[in-house]
Amino acid sequence: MRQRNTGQRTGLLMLMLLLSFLLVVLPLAAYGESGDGPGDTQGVFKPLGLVSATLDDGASIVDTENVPLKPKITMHFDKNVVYLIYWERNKRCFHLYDENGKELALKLSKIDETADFSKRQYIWAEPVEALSPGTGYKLYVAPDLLAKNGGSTLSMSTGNQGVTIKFKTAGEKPAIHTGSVVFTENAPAEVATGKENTAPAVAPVKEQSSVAADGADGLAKSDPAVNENQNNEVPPGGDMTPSEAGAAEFAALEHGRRAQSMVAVGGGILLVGWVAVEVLRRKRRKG
Amino acid sequence: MKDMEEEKTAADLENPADNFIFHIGLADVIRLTMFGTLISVSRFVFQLPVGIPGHTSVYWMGLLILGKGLIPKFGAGAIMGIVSGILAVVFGLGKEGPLLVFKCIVPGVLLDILAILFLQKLESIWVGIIIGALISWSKLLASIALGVILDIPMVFLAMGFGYATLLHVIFGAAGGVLATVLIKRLKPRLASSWQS
Amino acid sequence: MTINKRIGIGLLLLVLVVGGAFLFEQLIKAQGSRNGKLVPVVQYDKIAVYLDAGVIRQLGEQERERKQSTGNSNEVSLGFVLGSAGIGDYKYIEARGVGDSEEFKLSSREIGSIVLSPNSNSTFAMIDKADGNRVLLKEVTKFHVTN
Repeated sequence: MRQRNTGQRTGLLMLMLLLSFLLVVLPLAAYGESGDGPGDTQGVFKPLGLVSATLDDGASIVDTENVPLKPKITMHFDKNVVYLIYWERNKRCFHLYDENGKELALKLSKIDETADFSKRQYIWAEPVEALSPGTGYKLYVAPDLLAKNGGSTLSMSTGNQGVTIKFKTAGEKPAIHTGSVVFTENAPAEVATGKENTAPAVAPVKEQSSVAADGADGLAKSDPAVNENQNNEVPPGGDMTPSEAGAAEFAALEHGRRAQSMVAVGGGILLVGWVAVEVLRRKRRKG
Repeated sequence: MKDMEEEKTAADLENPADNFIFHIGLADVIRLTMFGTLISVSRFVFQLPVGIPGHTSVYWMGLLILGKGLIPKFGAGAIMGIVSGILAVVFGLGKEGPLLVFKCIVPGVLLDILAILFLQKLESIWVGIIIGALISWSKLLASIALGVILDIPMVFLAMGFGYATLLHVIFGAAGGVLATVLIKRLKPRLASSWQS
Repeated sequence: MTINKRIGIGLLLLVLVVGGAFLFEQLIKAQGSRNGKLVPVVQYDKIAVYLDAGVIRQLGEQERERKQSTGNSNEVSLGFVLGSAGIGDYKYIEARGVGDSEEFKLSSREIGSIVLSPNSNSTFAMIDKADGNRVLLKEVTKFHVTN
């Protein structure tokens, strides 16, 4: 009888040891795969995402046709994006392009978290000069946009693409604004090859499904002359478009996400194991 | 007296699993380890992009109180905190690095103390609210302490402290309420099979 | 003590915790603004941002990183600080110091040579680099932005 009890106890201990082993090994395997250091900015962070982009009246600007010529766009993110320490970096992530790919000056504003904590997820973007009527524009937010935690970037929720919000201003297009004139001067490569509207559609904005995520490379290839139109508020954006280093960072983040999935699966296995142990125990007691 | 000690030692030798750590049996320690794991896993699975400080307290504090309510032994909270802390560090959750363990242990230890002060009545909704809110707030305080250690400017730690406290208290209390409901339902069912 | 009494005390404690946290925040703001440990930047008669020595130190690191500079001093240019605070267009900046120290009114041109440097007592000083590193304010307490 005693021998039977000892056998059962040993079996139970072995099972527990196995579970403990899983508990330690699975996360470690995930940790090893991702190459993440604890506390490093390559740790597992929740992705930063754009919640909405709206006009003053609260209507979404995404794919809207009658946008005022001097719109104040309220961009709502799901994390703190106004952190003082990263603001100089973050404000370089916002770019406004007209339909010919010419970059326009953009005035960005924020309310600092130390002044009003509830506004820490909002950035307001406004063109410095009035937009042309009846013209299509693209507001591009680069994937490098960084949240206060120092690890969550927009690239994590947009597949390293950033967010492109397309809209069209109200009114009739002036006759002098023929696309081809400016097109030859400042148009990015993707526009020049007529690929502007064929970019793969991703929907990083949660409330809309029609936001296109353009290939950031296309923007990186834009004519340097574009930068002449920048004001001090938004410095040239070429340096903030994804580079090779950005791609490496994205790959690391992908690893992190894969690790996260592994850990979730591991957690599931542990949970099932736990239920199995409890069921076994109960059966043995009844037996 | 000596005889009693010898008897106890003999009993321990005979069944080491019943007195594993903090006078908690091995089976209970394993169960608490599972709760600790669930806390860390839940932080992965429920990655709600709500952007409200302290919202993780709903399931974090909920699971802590649930574990403590089902295994009402001193040290249960600490064990869950240690396990969830170690896993959180290994997972790389957050930017605090190894110091993250501290943030996870503090609510667990406080839970052990508060459970004694509230006579282990964790199935009471009011007790759940109070304990959930207080341990959630202790998490916030631990975060601020870590911020000081990690040289985060004081201005970012002090500003919005009231708002953050209010939200942590609300979410912690919500977690406490959920836990008490679950304790009430689960405890009678597990009472017979969970005796180690 | 009965459980009901304990619950009552617990609820009271919760109210005190929440109320105390808001009170603590207000106290920190008021006291810090007086002794120069928490410096408000006022724009349009509203506080746009609070600064402290830690922020100045970290912004200094950021600025050096961007300029690829290798210097190890903690100072940061006032222009960079204002840019990080989201303050772009302004005519003048008025800076005040602890006690009865002088008040400075700086135009956007003059700001180019002004740097902020953290002190050891969690305050920060305002220095004019163009004037042989002259300390304009030993402990800054307030900035006022005039548009």
